[in-house]
Formats: sequence, C-alpha cells, structure tokens
Amino acid sequence: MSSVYSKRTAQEIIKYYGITKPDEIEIEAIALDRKVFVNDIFIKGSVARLQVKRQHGIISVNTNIKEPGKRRFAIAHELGHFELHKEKSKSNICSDKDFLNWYREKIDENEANAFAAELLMPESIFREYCPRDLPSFTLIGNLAEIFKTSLTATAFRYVELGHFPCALIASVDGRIKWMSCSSDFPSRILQIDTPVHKLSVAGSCLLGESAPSLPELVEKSYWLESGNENEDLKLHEHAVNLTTYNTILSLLFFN
Amino acid sequence: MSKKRKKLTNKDIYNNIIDALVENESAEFSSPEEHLNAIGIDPEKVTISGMNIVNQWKNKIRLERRKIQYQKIRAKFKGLWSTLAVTPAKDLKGTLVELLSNNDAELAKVYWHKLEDVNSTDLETMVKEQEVLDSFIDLFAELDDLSEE
Repeated sequence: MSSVYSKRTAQEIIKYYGITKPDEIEIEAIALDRKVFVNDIFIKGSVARLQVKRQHGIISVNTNIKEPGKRRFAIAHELGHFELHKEKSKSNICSDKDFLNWYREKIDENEANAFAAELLMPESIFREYCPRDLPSFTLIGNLAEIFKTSLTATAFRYVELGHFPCALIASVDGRIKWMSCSSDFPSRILQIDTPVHKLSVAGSCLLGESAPSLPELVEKSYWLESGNENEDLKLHEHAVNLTTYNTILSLLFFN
Repeated sequence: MSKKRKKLTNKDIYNNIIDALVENESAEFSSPEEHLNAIGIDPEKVTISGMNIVNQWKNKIRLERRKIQYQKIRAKFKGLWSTLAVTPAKDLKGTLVELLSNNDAELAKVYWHKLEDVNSTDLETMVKEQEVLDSFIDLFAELDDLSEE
C-alpha cells in the first residue's frame, strides 16, 4: 500500500457521494455510511482511536480537542485506518505526534494522513478554491475556514496543490523540525534540526516578538542552502506562532 | 411528423432527478433503474456516465439522511455512555481471556500493553467502547427505521 493508494481511496469516496463542494464533506455522516460511529469521549494519552469489529468501527475522539479542524482531521485519519488497514489491525491508537509529524516513519500513519488530507481537501476541489495571490497565512486561514480544517493541515495541502511555488517549515524548540516544498520550489531548505536563524521571522517569534501580519523579506541564507537560487528573486517569509503546539510555521516564497 | 427522441445528456438527467427529488423528497428506490422509471426516464436511454450521476445522487441523498441519523445515534449513545461511565468496566482479565479465546490476539495485545504500561482507566474506557461498538453494530441494521422515527 502507498500514499497514492490512500489518496485514490479517498478520491473514490468523494466521487461515490458526488461531493463537489467543501461544505458537503460531512465527516461524521460519511463515517456513519461506512459503518463507523464517531464518539466524543475523554481519552487519556491519545487524540483518537479506532476499534473494529465485524466490519463496523467506533472512532473515539478526545473531547480535549478544542479546534474543530483538528477534530475533523482526527476523525478522517481514523477513518483512513478503517478503510485502509482494518484487515491488518483491529485497533489503532493515535497520539498528537501521529497527526502533527508528517514525516513519521510509521507507514500506516502517513497513509492515514494522506487519506485524511485528500478526503477533507480533495485535490480537484481544493485547487479550485486556491487563489492565485501571493502565499500567506491569511490566505491559508481563509482556506482552512472554507474546508473546516486545521491551519497546519491546510498549509501542508496548500504547499502541495497551490498555484504559487512555496515551502512550509515547522520549527520546534528553535530548530527545524520538518518541512514541505512545492514540487517547483527552486531551492533546497536547510537540514532538519538546523537551529532557526535569529534574524528570520520565526527567529524573532522565538525571541518573544509577535509574528508580523504580512510576509517579510529575509536573507536566503536564513533558510536555504546556498547554490542554485536565482539572484534576482527575493525570499519572503510569513510566520505564525502555534503556541499551543510549541511550533512556529514559516511559509517561504520567492517574488 | 414524429420527433426522433434524442439521447439524454448528463445535464438533462441531473435536472430531471433534481426536479423529481424536490417533488418527492422521501421517495426511496431499490435501484437506479427504478428511480429513473419513476421519474419518467427510460434507463435504456441513459449513458453509463448518466447512470453514475444517478448513483451519486442516491448516495448523496443517503448521506443527507446519515447526518440526521448521526445526531440521533449520538443522543442515544450519550445516555448509554453516561451509564457506562459510572459502572465499573467488565472484568478486564475476563475480557482479555475472551479476546484471546476468540483469537483476537492483536486486540488482546493492545489491551495487555495498556494494562501493563499505561493506565487501567484508559483500558476500562476501551472495554466500554467495545460495548458501545456492540450496540452500534446492532443498531446499524435498523438505521433506516431510525431516520423515520
């Protein structure tokens, strides 16, 4: 199995229900029609879990999740386990890390994430809603509102499917934790675990300043490996501080 | 002079179905063919992609119904869950033995791991979830009746 298969499975579901607009993606109703019941309960130590019996399932979602977008993603992720892995495993317990870290080594978790992203933000519909404006978290926030998804998941999808080449970097504890680039982003980002440059926008957030509302010009060396970039293009960074997750997201693009 | 009947386009079918649905919202059909006949369309004249649209619409309508059903089930299980929450979970060891005897080794392993390393509160919750799942399986068969209530 692969992420491609996971995406295709989600696309088939979207097609099966004739979904053409974001507000038609009723995740609990879709789950119910697939014989899965979503139950909101308090869970100690995990975000959500799935139990399967006789081709039916129960998804328990932690009532501690306050953001509706994160809750929807957790449900879609568990539904992904049901659709993709139910023959393999009758029980899945997923922690915060399984949803947040997009580069985890666990293949099943990556597949469930790919499924959830495609189900909640179907490629064909998402592209239609992506404006051709310069990238920013304001634009991504608007998309997150339309698709009722979390900012991180939407940003990840935007980088993958948006019309403007860009890169998304997550910094945790002052170091680059993970990154995602558009296929046509022209430069290489610094290695994972590299300390965040203190003069970058993310760096100033680390020093306690609030993130500027608009993208700012930054030196390429703050984020990129030297070499193949075009001298005429300037690097811009827009950042958002997700204090709850101790994470700063930076969106990079050339203009 | 008789008019030659032209093959219906997807758009024609789509519009006809919407009209028919608006007229008779609660109508249920056992097959797309029956659905088409009921709204005066000869299924033979419909293209494969047209049939796909009919099927999509049937699924879409069912999804609408699921939305209402979900709220009803949720309310039903909320009661069940609050009863379970104050009742001690089934004998955990007994549940494990039961799972193992059913050859559900993987689930038993999860429970066992939980029992050893995490905390028994969460394990209790998982056992209770199994009870909810059992009730859900029973209820799912009657779902369509539930939406009529």
